Amino acid sequence: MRKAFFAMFMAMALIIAVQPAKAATYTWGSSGEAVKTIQQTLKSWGYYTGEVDGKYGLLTLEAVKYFQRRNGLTEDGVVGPKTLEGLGMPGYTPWPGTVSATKAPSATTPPATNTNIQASSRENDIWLLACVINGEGRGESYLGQVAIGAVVMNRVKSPLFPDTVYGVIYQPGAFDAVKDGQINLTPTQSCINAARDAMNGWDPVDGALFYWNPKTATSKWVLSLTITKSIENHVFGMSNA
Amino acid sequence: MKMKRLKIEPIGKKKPKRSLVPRLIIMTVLAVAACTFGVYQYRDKLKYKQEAQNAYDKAFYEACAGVDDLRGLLQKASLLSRSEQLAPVYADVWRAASRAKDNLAALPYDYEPAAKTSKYLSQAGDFAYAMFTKTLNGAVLSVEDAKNAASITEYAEELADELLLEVAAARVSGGVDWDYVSKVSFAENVNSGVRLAGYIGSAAETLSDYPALIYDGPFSDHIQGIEPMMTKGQPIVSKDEAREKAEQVLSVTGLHYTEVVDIGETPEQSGSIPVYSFSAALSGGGSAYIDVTKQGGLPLFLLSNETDERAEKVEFEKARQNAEYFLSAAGFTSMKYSYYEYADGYITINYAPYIGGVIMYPDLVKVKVCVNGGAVAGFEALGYITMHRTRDLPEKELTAVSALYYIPEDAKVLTVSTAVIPSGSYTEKLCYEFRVEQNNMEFLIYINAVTGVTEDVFKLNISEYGVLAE
Repeated sequence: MRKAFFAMFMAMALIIAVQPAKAATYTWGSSGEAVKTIQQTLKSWGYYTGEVDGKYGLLTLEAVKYFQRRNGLTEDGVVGPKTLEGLGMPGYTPWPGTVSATKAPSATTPPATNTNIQASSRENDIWLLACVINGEGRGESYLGQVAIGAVVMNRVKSPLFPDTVYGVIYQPGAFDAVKDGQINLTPTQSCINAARDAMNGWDPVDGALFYWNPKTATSKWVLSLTITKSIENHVFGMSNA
Repeated sequence: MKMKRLKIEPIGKKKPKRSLVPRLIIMTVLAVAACTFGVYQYRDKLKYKQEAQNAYDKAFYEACAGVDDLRGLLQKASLLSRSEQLAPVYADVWRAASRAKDNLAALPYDYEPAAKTSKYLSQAGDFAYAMFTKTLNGAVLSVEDAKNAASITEYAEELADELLLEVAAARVSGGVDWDYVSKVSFAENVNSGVRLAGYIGSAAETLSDYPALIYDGPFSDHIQGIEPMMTKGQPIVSKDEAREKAEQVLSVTGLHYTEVVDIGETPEQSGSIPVYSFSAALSGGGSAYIDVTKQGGLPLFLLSNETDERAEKVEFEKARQNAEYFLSAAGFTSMKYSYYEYADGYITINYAPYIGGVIMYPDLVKVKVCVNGGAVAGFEALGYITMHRTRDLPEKELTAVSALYYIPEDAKVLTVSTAVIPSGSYTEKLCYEFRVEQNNMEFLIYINAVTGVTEDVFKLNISEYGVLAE
């Protein structure tokens, strides 16, 4: 009886508690107030020699890596939650995202909607593409990751699909990672690089518009597609029509 | 006699006596909490469901209205013949098609109805844009154009009829159940012959015998099935020859790699550029991937994501030299760089052949160089392999000086060169490329060297991240 109570209580507590925290990251191409604060901090601690202009460029990248190296953090040039903590700026909310509930925006930390806005809509496209690659194939090899990005880009160019990266990715039912919310995880650096390569025209799948897992795919329609390439767990292809 | 009271002890384990009350209280509190929680969850669920339903309804009605507009506008266009009358109507057709397409893409249909309607609306919009620019320049429609316009109009009429029936069905059945629609399969719906409110199965079915359209636009049907120029008619190389080519290309990248292994090939009878695929382990633990075409044995792309953090950083000039050494060693000669991008530890540089003083932009090759160490980490030659050939360029009708007439007076001309540029549908234009400056911004303006038409304008995005054209 007591065990049953306990289990029920725990289950309820779990339901209430499971609200995954999103992490903010700033890296090459980021800009805004948060980057300014990062630069200011790095400068006052002697890691950064450039201008405090709120643009995450080469010098900022070098300074962040130097900071990470000296402080035992992963030296990836990405200011994530751990590096932010090291810089004394925990609790920064990500872009795109909402203002953190636990920390109200103050004068020194403007609302997240104004921070870390990428330099251009091209950078936004690359970021979203990286999120999809991360959600769908962060365990794949680099080739497999670029291939997923290439499928999105091939759809953008195809008359059968919407004309924009956003339109293709958010088309209802198009990607499992969008359905289950994994698209909102912060992408790994490898996924960001893969997204940039796919955006720049690398297409390892010869124009494929679909990919599926041959071990789990059962739909007759999927099995009727023409295969253009197999990469690890995924098969890539297009429809004959 | 006094009876001695006997206390009767239960046999077995002693149990402490406990009241039921605290347990009941805990149970009640938990039950009330669970119910309250459940009610709130349920209310939230209803709210989100309604919001999703509303967004779908809006997209659905917008899409239907867009197709209805498209029909009316196309019917107007078929009445008119003068170019100055047609241009504004085709501009509206283009807008209506795009409105319908964007909204249909937001609805939870399965692939086939979504793709069939999307293709039709893409082509209708694309064709309308081609007719808009044509009539804007004063040209009249050709016989072929009129034929295409007639078939697009015919299908717009059928599609609009079907979609308006869907709207009527939604109205009589009290709205569309989008949750249900999202689970419907096209094949089953078409076979059942039942009209399901909101599901565009029968509308998509009307497009099944839609003819192929050929016109000057990126979604024209002639684009599928174009054979790559560089591989056309070339003999098929063996896998071993392809592996040798892959080795040779890798050997001039500056990457430290070990053995080149075979990781597959394009299946028989599929793919537009069949390839052999190879990979090579890199010293840092990652891999490099390289594809070589079966026909002609040409390197198609190289991909890797490994950079040696300890290696010295290279400047742009050094990266460019490495890229150019790589290109000529890999068989791409007379290449000239144009744009480049600095990001995430790599510099990606665009190259195009520069032949007889003319830049051939369609024959694009991109090279990715590591900032650390300067090795070539990747290249991509799809544009080059698809488009590169010896071209018969048209005779210029304009001199560069006479083309200046089309450049805005207040723009300062920085440089002039001659270039072949791609125009959407695998056609090409010989142009003067004017690099100009105005209000501290730089632009590239392409003036057709034969007709004087302004073919394209790019804004140059120059920053510490590189030079990109938008």
